[in-house]
Amino acid sequence: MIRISSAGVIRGYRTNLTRSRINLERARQTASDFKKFRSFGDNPAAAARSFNLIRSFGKTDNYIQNSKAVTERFDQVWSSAIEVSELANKIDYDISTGMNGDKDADSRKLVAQTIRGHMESMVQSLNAKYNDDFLFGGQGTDEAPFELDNQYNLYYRGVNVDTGLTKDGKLPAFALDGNGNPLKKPNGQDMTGEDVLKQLSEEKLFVDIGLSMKNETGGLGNFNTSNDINSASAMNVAMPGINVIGFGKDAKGDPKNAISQLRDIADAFEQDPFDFDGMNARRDRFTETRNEIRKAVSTIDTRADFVHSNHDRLKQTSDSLYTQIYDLTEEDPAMAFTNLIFAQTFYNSAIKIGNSILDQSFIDYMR
Amino acid sequence: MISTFGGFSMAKLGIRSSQQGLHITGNNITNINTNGYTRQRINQVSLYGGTADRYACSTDVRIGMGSLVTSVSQIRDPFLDIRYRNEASKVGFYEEKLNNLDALKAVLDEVSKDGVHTAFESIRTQLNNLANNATPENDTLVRDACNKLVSLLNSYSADLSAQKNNALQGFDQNVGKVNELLGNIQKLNIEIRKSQIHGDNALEMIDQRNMMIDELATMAKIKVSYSEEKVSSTISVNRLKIELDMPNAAPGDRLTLIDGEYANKLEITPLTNDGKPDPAHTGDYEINLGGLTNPQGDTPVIAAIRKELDDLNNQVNSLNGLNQKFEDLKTQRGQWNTDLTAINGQLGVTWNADSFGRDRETTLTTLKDAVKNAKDPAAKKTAQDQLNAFNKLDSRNRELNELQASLEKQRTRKVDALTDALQKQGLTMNQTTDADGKVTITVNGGNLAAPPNVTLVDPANPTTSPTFSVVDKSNNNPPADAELLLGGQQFKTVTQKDLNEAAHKEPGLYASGKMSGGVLRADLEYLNGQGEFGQPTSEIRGIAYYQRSLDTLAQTFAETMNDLNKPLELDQDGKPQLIDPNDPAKGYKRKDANLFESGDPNNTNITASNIQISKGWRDGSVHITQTIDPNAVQQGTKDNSNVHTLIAALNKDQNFIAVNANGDKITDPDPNGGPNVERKIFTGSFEQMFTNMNSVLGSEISTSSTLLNNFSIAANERAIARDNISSVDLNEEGINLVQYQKSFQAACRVMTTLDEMLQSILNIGVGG
Repeated sequence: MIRISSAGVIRGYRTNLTRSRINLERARQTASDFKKFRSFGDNPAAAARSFNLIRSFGKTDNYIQNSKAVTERFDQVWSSAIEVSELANKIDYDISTGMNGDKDADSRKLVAQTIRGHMESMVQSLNAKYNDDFLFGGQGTDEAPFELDNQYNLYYRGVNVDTGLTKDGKLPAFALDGNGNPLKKPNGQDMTGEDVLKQLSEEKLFVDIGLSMKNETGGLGNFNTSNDINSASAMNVAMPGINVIGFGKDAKGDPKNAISQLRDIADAFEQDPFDFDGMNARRDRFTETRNEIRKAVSTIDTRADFVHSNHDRLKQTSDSLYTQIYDLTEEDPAMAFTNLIFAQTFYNSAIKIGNSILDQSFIDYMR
Repeated sequence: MISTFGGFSMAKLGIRSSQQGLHITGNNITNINTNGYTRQRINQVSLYGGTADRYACSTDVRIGMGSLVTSVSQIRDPFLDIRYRNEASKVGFYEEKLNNLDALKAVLDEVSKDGVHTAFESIRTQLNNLANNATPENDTLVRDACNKLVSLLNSYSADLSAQKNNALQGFDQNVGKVNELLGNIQKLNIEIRKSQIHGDNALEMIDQRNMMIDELATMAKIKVSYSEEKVSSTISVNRLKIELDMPNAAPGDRLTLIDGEYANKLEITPLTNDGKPDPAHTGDYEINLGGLTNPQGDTPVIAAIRKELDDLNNQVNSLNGLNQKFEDLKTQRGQWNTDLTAINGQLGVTWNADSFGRDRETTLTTLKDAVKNAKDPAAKKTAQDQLNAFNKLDSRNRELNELQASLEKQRTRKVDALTDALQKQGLTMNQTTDADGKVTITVNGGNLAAPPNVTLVDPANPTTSPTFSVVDKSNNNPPADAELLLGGQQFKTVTQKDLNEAAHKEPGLYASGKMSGGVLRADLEYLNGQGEFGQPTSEIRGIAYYQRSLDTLAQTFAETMNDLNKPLELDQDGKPQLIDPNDPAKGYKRKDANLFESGDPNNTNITASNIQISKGWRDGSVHITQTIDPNAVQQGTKDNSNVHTLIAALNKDQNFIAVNANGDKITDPDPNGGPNVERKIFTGSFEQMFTNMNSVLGSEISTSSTLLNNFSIAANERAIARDNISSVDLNEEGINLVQYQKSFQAACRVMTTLDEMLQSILNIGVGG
């Protein structure tokens, strides 16, 4: 530098003072809101990453809410299923009492009535609701899934639980084509009542609780039906009631569902003479069904436990995400205040220099 | 040896030099805070009286004759000016770019506010609620969440349009500012030239001009040069030239903004009827150069032609004047002949023209002899009278002859000059001279139509000569060539191409890359840059890029959701219909149930500005389609698989196809020769698309901010370096004050010493 002029000195000082002032203002802002950045322009990479994390946090929050709803639903399902199981046990006791040798026909008729009363209670439990949904209606409709007619035949979603046919003995409309003929199965055969019951028992209704919901074939595509959703990637909350109490007929043509079995048992108690061997056989079948009911309750329990533990996992994930977001976006208060103090000190120094920025010159000493 | 009073002159010069030095120093001190002031210095030389005299004494010693202030000059480093202005254009560019991007950031950046991201989250949450609990209320909540998103997209789109209008206004103002600067520099150039011609360096005006050039340098990348313009054989002035500094351009190819008294003008296209940039224009905005013109509105070629034609007119007038003089000469000769006749009668002599011409010596000798030999006084008087009269007539005759010779010389010279000047215009001259010496000139050639000969100089009609003129039609609508006219008849044209080239008239400075830096370039990139949406694509992303990105996001979202929401088409019995009853594998018919639509009756393409919730969804005839499972539809179950499909669409990657301003998808030629393919610009989820837009904007802001900081520092350093050279330093000026003050005192002391010496000399021999 060969020469320095006042204008050059002032220009340099002015620039440095302005820069110092800007830094002070930035430090003040950080100390007041503790944000590391306030726009994408401040730190594009961190801002983009923060939005990714916030997106994941939002999704996790949705999963947590879903998980909570599923937990509450399963609590209700389990409670109603237990009721059905306990009723079944109580009915078994009544059966064994009715089979006692000292019972006369009138006493057995009383047992039959008692059994029929319990059947209606069981159906009521199976028609339990949670919010606006019937818990044991499978995918669910707006109508109660189970219905007992005057002859104590059980209907599920309009079809007989034993035969799979409607009250007028036909296949339901969804099993018929436009010409009223039975739909064809993949093997080319016509659908039967048994197929109808099987289809109803396999209904699914999924809730996304953060298990990476995806297609059966992999990937995240379009779900034309709930069967397209990979069952391991979401929680199936559909509980077709016929899976709890049984459906269809066995090889001998006897009903497999508890209500129909109890109907037959009640009818048998009213027969005179009483067929003890026949009742034993019916009671054995009912005992198997009771075991199936207990298994169904146990399955519900297991699924509820899974939802509970998944809920805990989601909470941990949520906390972790929150911590990551915080670390990425929030400035450490100690650092923020320290920077503010530094910036203030630098600015104060710059101002102090300003008083003496223009030195005395030769002119000041001229006589 | 110096003369007696030479010493006083020497002292006087010293006093004057010191006085001027003090004035300059005082001027510097008082202007220490004047913005743009460059310190000045006097240029002082030692006065020397010339080389040795013819009769110089060999023992004499040649001594100088004092000091002379020859001029005042500025202390300025033009190289620092160049370096500063280079940095200034970069600072101007990035500062304007950052301002423009900050305006976009205020609309799109959502780090510190809720917006599109929050809206998408809300939609996802409400869809999850609907999946878990399919009720009309939850459907309404989904619709409300979508409405929030739609409103935000509309709002952002409107804000971006408003930003564009603001940017256009700013651009218009910046162009106006540049034109104002060019006009002011032009005026200063003219004033500086005039001052310099009259011997004044006009340093203060040069300072003003430099400040304007500095400001111009921030607006565009320019190159400044100076040349010497010879005004006369002894006077030269500085001529300023400012050109656009175009990358990789040869010196002769640069476009000129200022050249001496000529200034160019920037024009924006397209314009509305009221002369403002058209906000409805969807293509590129451009800056054109309107061509160099002087304050009279002439381009350099036209001005030069006009000068030549004015010169021709002057020559014609001059020849007309000459003809008049020949006419006067004729009259005077007539008068002389009359006088001769009268004298002949009075004196009884028989002189004629030959007596004053061929026989003049003989006649004169005879008359002189007559006077000499006259014996008596009367004869002598008569002879003397004759001699006197002869001399008088002879003198007059010689005057007239000299006048004639002079007029003839002038005529020859003027005719030759006129011939050359006419030949330069492609015209041929024919000349006839009458007995009185008057010329008649006709011209033909060039484009002159019938009659081919135009009488230019006519002694019979000296005041009605046809005049030369030029008409510039290059700015007409439609533009035409310039015409050179003689008496209203066109004899030559100058093509628009030649005029425009010479005037540096150039369209499309942005497209050609000739406007390469500064505020104006930043404005044009902001207004025109379409990035991946351009034809062809480019790296420059202006407001159009963000508008199209938003439109692409809106259109892809709406089309995806509309497509996925199509429910099964049912017959009158409520049964889903197969596409092909003979081929159930083809699936079931689906009908439209749009959730979103365009709110613009003139454009069915969905864009960010016109997207709205569909009428059907608003009035309840359309809902979120829960399922497209035919079994579930027939049984009326609460299967939610299609809601999960909609949620999955929010989460999964989509292909975003670029759209233009009208919402039409952009296609490019297929390199394999097939039909055009749609241009995919991004693959990701809807939220990632919006985040990507912000990331691009954020990166541009971050980069521009860093570069602006760097260039500002560099420009500031150049400015400080320049100040250190050209600004006033009080120390220096203080020392100069003392120095000039002392030299003034010393010069005065010389004066008093000389005065005392002279007094001593004067006192020599006095007294006694």
